Amino acid sequence: MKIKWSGLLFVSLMALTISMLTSCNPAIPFAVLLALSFVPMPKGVLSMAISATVVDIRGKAYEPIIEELLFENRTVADGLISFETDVKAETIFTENTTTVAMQAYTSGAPTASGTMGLVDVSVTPTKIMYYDTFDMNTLRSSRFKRDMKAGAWNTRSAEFDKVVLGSYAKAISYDMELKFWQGLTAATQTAIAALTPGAGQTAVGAAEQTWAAAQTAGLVDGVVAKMIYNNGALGKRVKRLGTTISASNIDAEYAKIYGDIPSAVLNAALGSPYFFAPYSHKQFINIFNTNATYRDKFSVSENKEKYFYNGIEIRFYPLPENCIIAALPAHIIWCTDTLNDINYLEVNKVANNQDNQFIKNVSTLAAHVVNQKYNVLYLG
Amino acid sequence: MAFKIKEGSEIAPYGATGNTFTSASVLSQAVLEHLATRFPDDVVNDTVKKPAADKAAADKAAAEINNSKS
Repeated sequence: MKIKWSGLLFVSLMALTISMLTSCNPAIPFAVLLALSFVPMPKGVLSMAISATVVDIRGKAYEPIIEELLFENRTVADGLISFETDVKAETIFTENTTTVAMQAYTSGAPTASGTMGLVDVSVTPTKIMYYDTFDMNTLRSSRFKRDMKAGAWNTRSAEFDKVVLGSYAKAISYDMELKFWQGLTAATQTAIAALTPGAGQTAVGAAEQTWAAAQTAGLVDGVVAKMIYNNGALGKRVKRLGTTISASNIDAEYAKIYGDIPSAVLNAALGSPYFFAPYSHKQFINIFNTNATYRDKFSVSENKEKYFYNGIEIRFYPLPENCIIAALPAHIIWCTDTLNDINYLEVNKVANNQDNQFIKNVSTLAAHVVNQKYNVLYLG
Repeated sequence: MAFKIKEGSEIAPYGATGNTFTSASVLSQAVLEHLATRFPDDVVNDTVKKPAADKAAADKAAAEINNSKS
């Protein structure tokens, strides 16, 4: 791991210390658990030092650690979309579509008509890992030596733990959020590229293929990918061809998306749909409103925290630029299994005879989109 | 029509989280055609032009026709 100097991040570390187990076996690994809570702290407040002891921790579930990390990002912290934490391997999501047909009454044997459709989709979260190594010995002459205890064996720095390891955990959280929205696997990327593009709703859009071509393939298909292609076929999303969004045309583009939202969604008993938009749109909206001649087309709260367009709230998440989703939040699902006993954040020695350490996180992630025909995907 | 990205141009259609396209990027014509709508200054329609020899032959044929009419 390259040590990059950066400004201090104010996080608080809550260290779990586990009593040392003595053993005759010198090969017992040296393990430390970190439960990290990321509450912004005022300057000058010191964090607790981490104390590490030898421990055997296999078989134990470490959900609090992962949940702390997950709730670091706004997608999960807001709790707006559906967050399914009990998704095991091959969990079945069932969607029900029903059609009925009125028919004339008959005293005789009636004829069955209509359909009661059930569609099962199997979701298996992808098991992912973050891993890096570092050598505290390389920091002996750095600023971190100020809180290293005396003695050649002592190279632990509380400041390093608080700042660097804390920022590593934050980066994990944000990266998972990014992959949840924008992730694309190589298989899906290839499948989207192989489709014949067209302007109609039943064809993949050129913009959708362009977006797929612009991605670096990864381990997880995110929400955008799932809307374009899922379950081995083109997604049933409401497709809207977009363009480059700027402060001058953002109103016109949102008007198109608003017009595309199915009436059943706008009047849904379940609740209101949302616009899910990239962060840059907040600036575009503010600039647009500032330049508007007579009135604000976008309703913005005074503290600039709530944004609305025609009564539909806009929420900002790490979506691709020039991409907007309009959907009921219940239709977008973050799937994971936090009860998995290997979900933990560990800082440990690489080997007993070394001083190099590693930091490791293991978890599962899948994005799932339901009721696809009711969700609008705008891609420029 | 054959769209292509200009030499030296760099296109990032989806911001910093997406890759940048250059003239070396391998893209389908459908994708390039879409990029041309968003980045008209960076994507050109590189239509194949007829060589000069063909034009000379066409001009000669036209002249012969005119001479035969006169």
